[in-house]
Amino acid sequence: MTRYGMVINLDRCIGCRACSVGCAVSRGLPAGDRWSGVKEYVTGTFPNLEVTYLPTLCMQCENPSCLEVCPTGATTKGDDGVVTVDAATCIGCGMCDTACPYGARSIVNKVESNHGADGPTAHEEHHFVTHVANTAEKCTFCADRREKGEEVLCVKTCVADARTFGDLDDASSDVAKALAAAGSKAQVLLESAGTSPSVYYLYSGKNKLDDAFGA
Amino acid sequence: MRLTRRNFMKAAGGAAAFAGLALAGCTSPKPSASDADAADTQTEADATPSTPTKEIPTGSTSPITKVRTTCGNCHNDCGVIVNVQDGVIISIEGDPDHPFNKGALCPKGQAFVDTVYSPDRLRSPMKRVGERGSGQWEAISWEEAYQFIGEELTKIKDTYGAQTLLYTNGAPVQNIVRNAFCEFYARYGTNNMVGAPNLCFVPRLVALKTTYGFRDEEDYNNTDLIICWAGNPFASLRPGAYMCYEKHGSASPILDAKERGVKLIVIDPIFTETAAKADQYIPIKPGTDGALANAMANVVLSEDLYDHEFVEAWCHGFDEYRECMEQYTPEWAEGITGVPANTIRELARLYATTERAALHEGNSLALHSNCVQAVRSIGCLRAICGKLDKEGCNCCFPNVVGHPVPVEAGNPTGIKTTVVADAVNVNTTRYPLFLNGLPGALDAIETGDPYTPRGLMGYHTNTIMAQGDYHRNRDLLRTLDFICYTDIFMTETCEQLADIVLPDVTWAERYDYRTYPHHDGAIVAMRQPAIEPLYDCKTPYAMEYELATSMGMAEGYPWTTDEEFIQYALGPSGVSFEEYKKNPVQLVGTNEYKKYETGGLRADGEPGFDTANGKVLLVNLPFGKNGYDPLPNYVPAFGTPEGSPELAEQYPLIGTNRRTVHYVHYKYRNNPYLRENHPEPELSLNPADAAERNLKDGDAVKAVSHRGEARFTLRVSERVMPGVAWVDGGWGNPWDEPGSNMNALVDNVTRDPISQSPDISSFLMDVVKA
Repeated sequence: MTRYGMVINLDRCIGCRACSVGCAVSRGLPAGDRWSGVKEYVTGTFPNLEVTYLPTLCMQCENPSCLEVCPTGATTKGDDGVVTVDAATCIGCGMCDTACPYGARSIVNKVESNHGADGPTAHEEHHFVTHVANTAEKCTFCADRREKGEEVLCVKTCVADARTFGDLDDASSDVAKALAAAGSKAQVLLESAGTSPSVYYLYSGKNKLDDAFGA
Repeated sequence: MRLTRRNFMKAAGGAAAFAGLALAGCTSPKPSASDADAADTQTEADATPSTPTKEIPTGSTSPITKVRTTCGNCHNDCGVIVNVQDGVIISIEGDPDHPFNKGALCPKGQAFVDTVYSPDRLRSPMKRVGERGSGQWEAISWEEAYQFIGEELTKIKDTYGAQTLLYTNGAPVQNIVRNAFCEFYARYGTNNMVGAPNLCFVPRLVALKTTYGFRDEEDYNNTDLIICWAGNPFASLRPGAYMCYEKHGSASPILDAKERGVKLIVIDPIFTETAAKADQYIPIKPGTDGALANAMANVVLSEDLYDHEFVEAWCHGFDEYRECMEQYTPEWAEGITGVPANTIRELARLYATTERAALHEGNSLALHSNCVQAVRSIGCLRAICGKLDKEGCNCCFPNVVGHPVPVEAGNPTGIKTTVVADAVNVNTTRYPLFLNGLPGALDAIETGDPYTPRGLMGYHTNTIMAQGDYHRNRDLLRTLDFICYTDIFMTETCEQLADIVLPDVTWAERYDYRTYPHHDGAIVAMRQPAIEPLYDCKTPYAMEYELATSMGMAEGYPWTTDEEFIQYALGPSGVSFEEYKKNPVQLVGTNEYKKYETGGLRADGEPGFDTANGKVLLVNLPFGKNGYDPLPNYVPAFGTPEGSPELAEQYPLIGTNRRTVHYVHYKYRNNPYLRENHPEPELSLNPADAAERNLKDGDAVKAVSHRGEARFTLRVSERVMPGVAWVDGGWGNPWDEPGSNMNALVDNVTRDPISQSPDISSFLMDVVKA
């Protein structure tokens, strides 16, 4: 079976946000609707510091807490492990957003320009057609791009080449190899939540990654 | 599974801690209580799955045109694919077939689509109707614009002489910067291109070209040691070298080297994004880099670690240089730089004894009033260690068309022109080795020596913002008779200075080109339009030719259309326009190491370096000839306590310029996709310095210096060396925070005697609560 997943090498991530900005702008996401982010940690005292950048996105969990709470059945998990929201049946109630421990969802209450009253721009108008008010939106591992045979954008655009995407169940895939090579350096976020994320982080530093979520 | 709101709360109980935290950290708007209640009612009422559905439009099904071109946001000039659907750019992605970025693209490149369609774009020529700086404008036609400019330029030429017209080409950092209107200015009769080169790579170019004839690039792919000095490539995304990307993306050369086991050493007053990935971080006091480099040379010489063979064969003035370096002991340098003497010794030994060692000197080194000699110190250190144009070291990668020397024909700034202006450059007497800096021209306005400039034409540069001393720049330039700027936005400079502003196109709407050194030769990349010019904007080529025509200066112009211009510019590369259109990225020429042995560095094809006597000039002959110190002696920067002890009593902190990955110079703070990542102008202080001033993180603060003040949000950060303030540069345009221009704090009267560089990365200041 196919189980899509991602390995993000934090030893390479430089925190530039090519991933999160690219995700938002290439999709023309409305104001407040963001599928990808980067958190930052600094510990220690000058000059002995540890700085870590942690890119976040939907973890495409094996046990997604967002799916359990969805009152309309709009959230489903595909055969490939990717969690999706059916915009037509989603009512934008926000329960999934509350349930997701990773803050990976956005509730689009209104489709608003990133330029406020000065917008929307021609670029936004083009994309806004496909965003509908009162809908939960989230990362789909670029399902639309993959359908067209294109690479997942945050993987492709990363200037540090820090991300690997593919089928975790296929031992010959780049992502499975990267995970195997990472060994004990690979970890998931908020493991104790029991969500079993499909996004793994390769990290040799000393900071506690879960600290970004207050855990 | 069907859940009501109540049993959802129960089911989620186990994860309540996470849910609460997720809420705290989430920025998306939450549904209101009434929305949630409505959902509750709905789901409880419907026992069968008859959930109401919404209409979801599929979006356009028109074909997407993919235009291969070259990004124009920064000096990296990455290859991009511009996706166009229904005549609108829908996204910009990295070009997988480009040899450098290989499909990767930084946030600025991707977000540029928003800048193209920004509500702030200028849409037609704008003529000032109120006082200068009053912000009152009227839209006029191109015909009116050309007529007005023509009359003003003719008046200046007839009354004072053509050379009193200054022109300045700036920030969009592509070849057009140097080329825009060059033919026009040459015909008009001025060669006074004066602008921001004093803040850019040119001070380093002057230091290194006069020492060994080229400005080097690091051979990261083959090196065993990387010293990153005063540069922050993981924020600039400019690693300093274009070649050698094993994996994709501009950060990859250094990261790949690290994965090979190469040691990365970062020297900087700030624990930067790059320091965060370093194996060794060496904090240094701002503006003292020359002292460290000379002390390293002292160690290399006194411990006999220098490359005897290279020095004997290729260096000029070694004995004098060695004698000069004797005074710069590691113990002396420790007192100046704050770097322990033993650390200096170890660093010097490691660099000298690592056969393949790359030393990257960053742009911060060009932002001190003692910068040229400091870079000379580093250049001489490289030379005596034998690290020039050798595998894994600092190499001279080949140059080609227009970048910038080979096609010059008397024009100091770029493309060949059909005539050469018969004019005396305004900087000739004050800065004979640096003709293109604005500060020297400001001196001429102030003193009338060698003559008083009368007019200014600016192409896409934020003149009064970019230089230190905002108020002095503004007030002196306002005395000019006529000022015209061309830009895509009404910048602070346009607003404060211009009599007329012309609406430019973005790089997605025009032709242009860029050349890059490459380890196999040289890359020439053509930029081509993805869409037609928006609104009533014109390409610079059209503006230039139409203005020349309107003024009766167009006869025999070497080109008349945009397509003819780009063919004219790219001609020397030997590749046809048709071939560029098929593949805009072409590799030309060849490259090899140790070109000084084979003749590859000199125009005459003889072995040696491209200097007067073919040697590396440890004693700098051009400097001596022009009255500068021919040896790289250390002189304190004005903006440090050592350079200005009295001023330091009143202003005890050393400010240093911060640049972030989401902006380029003064650009893009009106791009919301970028702005949300760094929404406010920030000033960071070490906790000790903040506590001493009773300031806490998030406070609104005012930075003050002997030149002015500027407002910031305070960040209390361990990343900053005690005694230093890390200050955001680049804010202060009408669309962001007009009171937050860091350069209002910087002295531009005291500057590097050779390169006119102000202390943007080392200026005395203090911080108080706003």
